[in-house]
Amino acid sequence: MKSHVWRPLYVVIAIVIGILLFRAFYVPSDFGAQERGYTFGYHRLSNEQEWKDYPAKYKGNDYCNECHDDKIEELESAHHATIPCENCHGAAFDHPDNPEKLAIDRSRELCIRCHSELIMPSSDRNDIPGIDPAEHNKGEECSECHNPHNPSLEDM
Amino acid sequence: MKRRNFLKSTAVFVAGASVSVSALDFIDPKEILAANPELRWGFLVDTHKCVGCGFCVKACKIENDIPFEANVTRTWVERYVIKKDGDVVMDCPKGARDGYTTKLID
Repeated sequence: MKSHVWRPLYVVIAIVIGILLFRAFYVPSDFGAQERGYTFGYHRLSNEQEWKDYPAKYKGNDYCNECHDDKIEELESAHHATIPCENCHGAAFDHPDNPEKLAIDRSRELCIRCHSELIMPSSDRNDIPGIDPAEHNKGEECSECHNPHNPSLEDM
Repeated sequence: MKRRNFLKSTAVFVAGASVSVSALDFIDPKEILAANPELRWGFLVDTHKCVGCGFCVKACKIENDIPFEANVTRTWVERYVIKKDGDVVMDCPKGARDGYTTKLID
């Protein structure tokens, strides 16, 4: 066979060898099948720390408690104790540095996520005090009457 | 190139190619799962504790930089109502992103 047929073949072989070499050096040794079999996932044992160091946007109540322990105390003594701060106050990100102030969601839509009365029997959801959003003080923000940290009107 | 040479090389190429293709072993996820029967992925929700507020959906979108308004979800939360006559109705407004805010099935 003439060399013009072989030449591209050499190029292809060189590319394949190049890719195999690159792969051998670049792909971590623990990538692929493990004894637990997570071949097709992103989970690699050696980069667990990398993911632990990856900043999460939601920091959790303990993070809020570092400064706002008075608010946490108020919240935890009332019916909304189970709700994480960041559900209404928004994800903390790097608060108080960035953002300096969190945008609080005081909207009626947020409250009726849980407090819209469902007439069908369902989960423990039916034990939560519920209102009909179409009837109950339509158009007003819930927080005008209810303190979100301690929403029971009797306690106010 | 002579016809004889061409046919010869073709035969060699086809023989060689078929050997190397059969040597490639494609890994099948199912095969690995079968080899590791103790491996079980699960996502558990206590349906009595879940009130369908949809905050998990909202938080997931924010945490993973998923567009909030775009109708994209990887999982979803459904609400089922089984009527007395056995009828089952299912509800999943916007992938439950905004919570279950109405008693209606929409």
